Amino acid sequence: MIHLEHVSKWYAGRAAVEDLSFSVEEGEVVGFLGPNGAGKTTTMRIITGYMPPSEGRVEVAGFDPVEDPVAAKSRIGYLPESPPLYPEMSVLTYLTFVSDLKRVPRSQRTKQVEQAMERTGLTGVRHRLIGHLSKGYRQRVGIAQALLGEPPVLILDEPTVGLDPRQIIEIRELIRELAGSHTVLLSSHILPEVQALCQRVIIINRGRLVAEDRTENLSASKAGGRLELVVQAPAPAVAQRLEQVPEVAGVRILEPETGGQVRLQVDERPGMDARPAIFFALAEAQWPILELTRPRFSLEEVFMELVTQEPAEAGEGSA
Amino acid sequence: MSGLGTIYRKELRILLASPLSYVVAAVFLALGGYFFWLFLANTALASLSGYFGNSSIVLVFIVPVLTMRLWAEEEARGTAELLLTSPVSLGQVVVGKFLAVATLFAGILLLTVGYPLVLILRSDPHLPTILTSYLGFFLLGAAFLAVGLFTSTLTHHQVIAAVTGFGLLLLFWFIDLAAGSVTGTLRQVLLALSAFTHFEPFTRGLISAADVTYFLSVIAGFLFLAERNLERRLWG
Repeated sequence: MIHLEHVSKWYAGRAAVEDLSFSVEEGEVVGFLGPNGAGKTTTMRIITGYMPPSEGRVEVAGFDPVEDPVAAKSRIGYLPESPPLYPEMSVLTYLTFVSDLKRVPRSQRTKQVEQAMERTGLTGVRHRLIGHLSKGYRQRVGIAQALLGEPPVLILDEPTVGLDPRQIIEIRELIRELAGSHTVLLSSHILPEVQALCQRVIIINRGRLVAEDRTENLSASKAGGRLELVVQAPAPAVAQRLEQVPEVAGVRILEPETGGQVRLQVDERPGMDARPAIFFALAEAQWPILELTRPRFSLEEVFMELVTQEPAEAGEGSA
Repeated sequence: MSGLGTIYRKELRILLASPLSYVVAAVFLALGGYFFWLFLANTALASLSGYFGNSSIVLVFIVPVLTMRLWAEEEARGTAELLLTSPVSLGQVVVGKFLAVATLFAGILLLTVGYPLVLILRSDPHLPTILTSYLGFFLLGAAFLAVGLFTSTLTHHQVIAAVTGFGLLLLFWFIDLAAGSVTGTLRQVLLALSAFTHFEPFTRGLISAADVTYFLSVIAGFLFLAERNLERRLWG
């Protein structure tokens, strides 16, 4: 549904986005993560046709936003970083205006505006001037606006920013509800949000892609090489024995022996699963394994790791 | 609903909701009332030529105030992002905005209908001249509005848009003055460029194709420049 091929955007000689390629398939909800200034907003503006890329190609729902802007734009619902509102208009007037702008047929206009207000909880403030609304409500008007015209693709730049916790839950519910019938690309720097909503995550930093994977794989992949276990055994001896297992790269005692039990952390060699070997080794020595777990890193840890690695790598590259 | 019509109605709605539009209209009408009285008191002629002559200079100052927010405000509010990611063309945005502000200007002009009415009731003015004066004044104002709309696309600061607009419109005026102090071809060129040279025949009851074409060209030219400028800003 959304395809980017080697997209770059240059501002005054500096790359805001550099050689970015990724795809979002129909019906997917994809999280777009990155620290502030990573190029998330620029990328979204390129996808929505607000600005053309300096290099590379974009395709949305089969149309190039530069070559065929009207066709591409009429298939995208876009919530910009700051909701594009006219404070002197009432909610109803504004949403009616946006429906016209998006070429919603007259016969469907009232229905779509009502539906958008209902979904975003705006029905009660329909006649209020947007300028008199709280930040949370304004954000909701911004989201309602993106739903008009029933676009198959939704691009949401920080959809829950400025909302209180209850509103955040409501908007997340709404995005989940939309997920089935829409292709959604949403940016965020709130990681649990992305974990809760998205099937897939694209992480960029300094305008470049640093990771792209399914949310669960991304959490698993970084933890792949690490196990935690509790063994009923004398601590030094069990550590020594574990180090002899070929699949094991390193052993660390996390909690020293208490009541005959020891908690250890084991690093596996890359690409290897050490669990069966550990089981047989400890069984042979008659040391019962009480617990064996593969702790999942949170997305937050993965994110921090990927994003903080980058400058070091860049430094090596130029050296 | 066409994109042009949607932009037009939205822009007119915002212009009519803005206190600035009413302040501009009030200033224009108050000064106009003064000019109308002044000309009658000094000449005792049943003519609006003095009124239109003086008001054309007022236009130089009020038009940039009407047009300064047209695009600059969309940039500052972030609503440019909505307009430019919607299935409307930049041409529709520019022309829609121009027609909206021209409608407001026509509305303000309509409020001056009292002056010719007074003349008709109390005297015997030459009606065709009054009508051509109105037409010429509207064309002059519309051309200035196009210039102001163009300067609004240069920046997201409304004041900068207005000051740039004053500058360009004053230049239109000073071209006229410069033409008085040179001779030959240069004088012909300067006169041909001057908005007031092309406006003045209308106040004497003359409509010429050349004058009408001049104003329509200025409008088309500056709307084109505005559209190009928006396009360029996006690629920047």
